Amino acid sequence: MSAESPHLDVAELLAGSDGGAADGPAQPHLANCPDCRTDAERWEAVAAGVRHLVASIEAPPLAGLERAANGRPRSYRPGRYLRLGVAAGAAVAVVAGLLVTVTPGAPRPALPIHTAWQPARPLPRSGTPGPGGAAGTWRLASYFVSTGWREHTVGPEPGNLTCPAATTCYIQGDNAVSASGPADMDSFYVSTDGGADWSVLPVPPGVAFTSKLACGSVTDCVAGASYHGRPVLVRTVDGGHSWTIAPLPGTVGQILQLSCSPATATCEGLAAAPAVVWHWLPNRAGRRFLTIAGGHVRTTAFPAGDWIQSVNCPAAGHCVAAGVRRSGRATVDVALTTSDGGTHWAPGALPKGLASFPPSLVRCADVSHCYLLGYAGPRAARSEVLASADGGHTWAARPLPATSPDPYVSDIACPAAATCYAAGTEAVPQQFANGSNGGRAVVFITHDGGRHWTPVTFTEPARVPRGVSSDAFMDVGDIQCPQAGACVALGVSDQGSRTTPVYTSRSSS
Amino acid sequence: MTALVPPGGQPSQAGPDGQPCQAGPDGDDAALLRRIARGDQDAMAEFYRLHSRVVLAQILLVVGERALAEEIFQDTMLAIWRGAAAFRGESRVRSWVIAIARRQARDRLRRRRLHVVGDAVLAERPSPGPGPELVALDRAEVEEVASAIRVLAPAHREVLGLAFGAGLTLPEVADVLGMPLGTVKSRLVAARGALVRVLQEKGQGR
Repeated sequence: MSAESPHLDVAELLAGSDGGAADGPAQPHLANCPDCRTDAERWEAVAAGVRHLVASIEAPPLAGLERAANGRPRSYRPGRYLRLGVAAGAAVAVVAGLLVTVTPGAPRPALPIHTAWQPARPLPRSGTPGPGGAAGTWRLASYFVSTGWREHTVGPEPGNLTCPAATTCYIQGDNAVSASGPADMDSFYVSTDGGADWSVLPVPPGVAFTSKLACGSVTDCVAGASYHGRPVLVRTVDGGHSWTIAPLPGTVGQILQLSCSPATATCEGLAAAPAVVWHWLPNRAGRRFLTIAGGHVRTTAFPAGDWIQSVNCPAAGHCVAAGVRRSGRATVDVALTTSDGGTHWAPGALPKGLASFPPSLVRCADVSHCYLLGYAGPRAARSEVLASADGGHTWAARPLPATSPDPYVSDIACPAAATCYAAGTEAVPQQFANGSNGGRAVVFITHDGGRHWTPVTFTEPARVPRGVSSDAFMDVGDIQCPQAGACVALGVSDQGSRTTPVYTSRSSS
Repeated sequence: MTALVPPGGQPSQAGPDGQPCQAGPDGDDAALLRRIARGDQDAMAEFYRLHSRVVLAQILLVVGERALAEEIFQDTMLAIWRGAAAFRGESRVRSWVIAIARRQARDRLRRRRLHVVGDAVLAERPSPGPGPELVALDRAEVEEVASAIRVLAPAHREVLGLAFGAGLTLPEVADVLGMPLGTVKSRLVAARGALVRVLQEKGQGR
C-alpha cells in the first residue's frame, strides 16, 4: 500500500499470498480484497512456472565431478554442438592443404561441400558518407553523415571483425533475431573501404561460425564453424563469395580460435575437445591446441592441469597461450610459449603480486612482442594489460591510465612491436536526449609498448538513432589494425540488434 | 499454495520442484566457502551439490542457450573455487554466487548484450495491476507458463529467475542487479505482463 494506491504493491503481494504470510502485515488487507488475493495467486502461477522451468534443468552429475577431482576419467553429457561433434567422430579426415576429405561411412551431409559463387549485396544507405578526416582521426564511420546521424541503416550486425588489410574487413554477424534466442553467427559482411560501407554475402545454409576468421591473404580466409551442428572448417578464397565446408577429424571439437601463417599455409589455434569434460577446475582435456598444416588437422594437449583461454601464433609453430593452471589445491594464471608447434610448452614468468588476473586474450605483434589482457582488482572491474618483449617468456604489467574509471578492454590489436590499440569501455555514463547508458566507448593507444596509453573517445549523437540502442555507444568489441593508424573497430550491441556502430581511424575514401 | 515470501520479506526456501531448497542455513554455506578457500575439494563438491542447479538455471534463463550456459557455469564455479576467500559475508552466499555468475555471463556476452530494453524504460513502464488480461495466468498450466517464460526477454527471465527460482528476496534481487528496489518491482510487473502477452499470443490460458 502506498500514498498512490490503497492496494498492495508487488512486494506486499508476494509476501501476502496465502500460507506463510498469514500473520503478516498485508494479511488484513488481503482478507478484504478479492482482487488482491487473485493477483497474489497470479504471482504464484508465475512462480510455479519459474520453479517448473528450473526443475527441468539438469546440472552436470556430481559423480563426474568427484571423479574429476580425483583425476580419474570423467564422463559428461556434452553440449549441443559437441554432441553432434561426437556423432561425427567416425569420420577420419585427411586434409589437403586446408581442405579435408572424408573416408566412406562419414555421416551425412557428405563433406566437403563447395558452394557456388554468390554476389555481394550492398547494404542500403540513406545518406552520404560521413565526413572524411586525416588518417589517425578517430570517428564513427557508420550512421554518421555531415548533417547528423544516418538512420534506417541495416547492418552490419554485431559480431566478429577481421581486417586482413587496411581497406578490407569482414564481419561474421550474430544473426539472432532476438535478444533471447541463442547466438546465430551465420551472416557475413564485407567492406572494401575500411569499414565505411558494407555489403552482405550469403553464408551457406547450416553453417554457423564458431571462431573468428583467420586470413592468409585479403581474400583467403578460414574459420571454425558448425555445419548442422557438426564441427567443420570453412574456407573462402574469394572474399566470402563462395565457401568450402570441410569436416574435421573426430578428435577435434569446435574450433574456437585460429591464427594463420600465409608463408607456410599453416593455421594454429584453440579447439574444444570433441566431448566436454566437466569440471570446475582447469583440466587438460577441455581445450586442445589445434594445428592445420601439411594436409592434416591434429590436436595436441596442453600441459596437464591447464585450461587455456586464448592462443595466438605470430608465426607458424611460434605460439603464446594464456589461461589458468591447477597447481596443487590452488589455481594460478599461466602464460605458455611454444616454438615447435605445440609439442613442448614452456611457462612464462608473470609479474609477482598481480592478484586476480585471469587472462582472457593474448595477441602478438611478432614472435617477440606479445600482449595479454586480463582483469584485476577486487571486483575484476579494471582491465589489466601485460606485455612481453621476449616472445612470452617474461611479462610486465602495463596498466591502463589511472584517470580512466574502470576501463574494461575487450580486444587489443598490435600492428607493430610497440604500437597497440586496446578497445573497450570506461565507466563514464552517457546522456542522450532520448536515453542514457552506463559507459562510453574508448580506444587506448600506446606507441611505447604499453608504458603510456592515450585514450580516444568519440563524438556521440545528441539523440540515439532509431533502431539503435543507447547501449550500442557504450563499448567497443573487436578492433583490427592491419597498419598503425588504420584501424576499424566494432561497437558492442544487444544480441538481436540488426546494426552496430563501426569506428575507424583511417581517412574516408 | 506455498508462500512466496514468508514474513519478514525472506523468500521461502521452496525449491524449483516444490521441495525445500537444498541450500542449508547461510552460516553453513559460509563455512563451506571458508573450507573452499583453504582448497578443500570435498567442500567444493558439497557446495556444488547445493547450488549447481539453481545457478545453472539462472544462467540459462539469462543466456537462453544450454551450451553457452554450461561454459559460463564452469567459469562461475572456477571463479568460486579461486575466489571463495573474497566472500566477506556482506550478502547471502546464494546472491553472492549469482552475482558472480552474472559477471561471468556479462563477460561472455559482451559482444551481444543482455539488455533488450533499457532499465529506464522498464522502470518507467506503468504497472498494469490486476486486469482482465491477466486471466490468462489463471487458466494456464504450469508447463505452459514455463514454456512462455523461455521466450521472454533475458531481462525479464532474469528477474523472474532471481525472485522465484533462486529464492532471493527483492532487496537481494536489487543488489544482484545493481538497481533500486522500485525498479526491481517494476521489472517484475513488466515481466509478468510480457508473460501474459506470450500466453495470449500462444492461445494458452484462455
